[in-house]
Amino acid sequence: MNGPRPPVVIFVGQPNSGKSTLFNAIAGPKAQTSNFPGTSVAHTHSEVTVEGRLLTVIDLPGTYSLCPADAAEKVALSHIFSEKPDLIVNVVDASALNRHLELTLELLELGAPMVVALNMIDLAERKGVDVDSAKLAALLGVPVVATIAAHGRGVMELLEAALATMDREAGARTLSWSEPVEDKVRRLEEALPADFPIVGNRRFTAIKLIEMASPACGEVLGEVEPDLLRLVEALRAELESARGAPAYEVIAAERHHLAMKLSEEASRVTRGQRLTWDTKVDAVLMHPVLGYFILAAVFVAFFVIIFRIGSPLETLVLKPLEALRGSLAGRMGVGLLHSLVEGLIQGIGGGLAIVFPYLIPLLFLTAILEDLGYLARAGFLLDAFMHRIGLHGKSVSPFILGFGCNVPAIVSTRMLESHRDRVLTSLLIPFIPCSARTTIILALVAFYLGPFWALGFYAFNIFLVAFLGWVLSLFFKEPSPGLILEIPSLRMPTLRNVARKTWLHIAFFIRFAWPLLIGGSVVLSLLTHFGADRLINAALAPLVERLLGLPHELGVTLVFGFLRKELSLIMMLQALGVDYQSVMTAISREQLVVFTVFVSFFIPCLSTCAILWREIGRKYAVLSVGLSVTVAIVLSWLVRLVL
Amino acid sequence: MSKDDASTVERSAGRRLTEAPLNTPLRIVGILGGESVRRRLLALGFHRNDLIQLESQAILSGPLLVRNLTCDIRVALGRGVAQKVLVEGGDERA
Repeated sequence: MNGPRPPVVIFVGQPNSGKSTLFNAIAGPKAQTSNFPGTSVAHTHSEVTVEGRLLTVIDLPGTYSLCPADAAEKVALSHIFSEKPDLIVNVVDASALNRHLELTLELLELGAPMVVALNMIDLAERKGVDVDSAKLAALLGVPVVATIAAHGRGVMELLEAALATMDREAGARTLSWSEPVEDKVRRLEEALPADFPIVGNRRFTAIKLIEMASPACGEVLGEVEPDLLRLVEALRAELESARGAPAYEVIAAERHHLAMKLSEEASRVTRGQRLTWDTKVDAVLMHPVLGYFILAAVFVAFFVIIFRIGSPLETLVLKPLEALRGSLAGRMGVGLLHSLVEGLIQGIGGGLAIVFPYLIPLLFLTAILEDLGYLARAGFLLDAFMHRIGLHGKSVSPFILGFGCNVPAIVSTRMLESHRDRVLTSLLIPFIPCSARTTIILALVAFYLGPFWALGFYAFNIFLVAFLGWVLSLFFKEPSPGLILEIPSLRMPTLRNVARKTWLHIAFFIRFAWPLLIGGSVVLSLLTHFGADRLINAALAPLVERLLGLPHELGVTLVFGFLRKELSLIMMLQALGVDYQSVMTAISREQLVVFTVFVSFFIPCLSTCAILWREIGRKYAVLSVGLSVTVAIVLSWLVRLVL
Repeated sequence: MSKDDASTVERSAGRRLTEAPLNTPLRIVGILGGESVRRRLLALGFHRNDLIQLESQAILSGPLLVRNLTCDIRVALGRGVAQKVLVEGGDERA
């Protein structure tokens, strides 16, 4: 290391290239990986020491090209363009070489030092294709190292090649296209004014001016350099009339043909047949009938985990905390300090009671499904249903994640291309019963009324999400762009990747949601301490008692419960002054259902509101709160009338 | 470029992918529709003249499962998108 900052190495690749897996193998357990296009939506930084040299390595979200289509791709590009990487590691899937090479060619145009990791070489072999990495390296003019990231093979060689390339400080050379297209690029390159903001190099800048989406770049360019914009438009028109296709398509076709030529030259088909087990398994997973049975089985597995693993574990976690609370109450009396400590303990306990019993198993299962490639297949199966509510199959994956915890689910909507789909999906996710709310449904409805009531409650909940989606989509007139979703090859998830991804979600929950939970809990305790709970209960009596027919003691639990949602059940018991076994002595079956409906649909939790605010803005966060308040009040009132 | 321009540029021949038979190699002869759909299809490796094959179809007018034989990539295309992909080949009367 000989500079003020360690050299920056950026990992770039298309979704499903195994990029994050490779990054994990190098950088340790900090990067997220998946087998669903675009789940590593935020980039991951890590500092590693390789052969005694400190490097900053950055894993970017997968990107299909350097013309961004969704929020996740924009993250990738802003990094490549702004951070001036000292080295690009381009990860390509050897089993779908020619499509992955299209991005490689685009990266070569940038002219930065580059190394190609020819990943999943084993999958290519199983598909009957033998890729010659030395030959590919000669054709591309940059080092190519064959790797199998999942098994850590080739990683050392890749690092050695990376260090050597960085030391040479030689940029990659770009490969030329057909002369008529090159001519247009050259003309624009020469016309670029001296003070024009150059990205990468002059040629790259000229190419991007021609192929980037016209409205975005046209507006800015038209104001600053009207002559240049005219030239860009003239060149585009020339390309279009010569090739009978829009200019961006002409350039994409140039890369496509070059990529096909390179991959044909570098690979040899060893046998004609494709791997069979994967086709057979896939035929079942996506079967028009069997596929839905398997999907249903996956959902059943979610509930079994919550019921059989989560609930018993939660009791184990909460018992000592309750004991601690009890003994503290005995020792400290009822001062302000005690209220603070109690709020703190309940906040910490609420987090523990949700993370270990529910989040870890559920997120672990989701991670397995994701890495296997199942979530993309679920998207395929459910696309038709999603269309009825104005969305499409790509929103399925965030919804499924939402059953575990709404917070990471809302973050994962970044992979949706259209802002409209993202907002709509994010507004619906808070109505998906997350594990915390599922426990309440199970503890109250299933325990006191029977499992079929709980099942019915769930079915109704899903119907409600669909209904709200349909209503909301009436207000979001702009049509959804429709489903274009890559179905990756099925892959056996590795324990290491699944564990790392689960940890990443959990770490996010701990950093983001838990402090809010603790803060909310302390506020709630202070409210009680200063006697505000009685005032609030009295003020809310018209809503709680008259409209919903519930005991007025439940006012604070119902309305401020979102500050400590995970502990709504305990709060209810405390408010009523009964223990779990004798709830029915304090309220009736009907009241129990009304309470559960209200708690399930009322403001999900403070963290969900906060993440909505951060991800889709204040306006929609407020709308979401308004929506859930309305739905909770109207529904629980209706339920009271019906029962 | 407007929607109409894009479609005239394509010298529309062939038929819509939604009307093509299953498990038959088909050649993409054009992509109708707006710039964003065309760009996304290009990015996923679906270019004019590529050979593709319809592998299956979800129920209730669900999406089509399409394999690009040129680069061995599979994608799910919603019906709205698949309708914009024009192909030729296979049994024309199917």
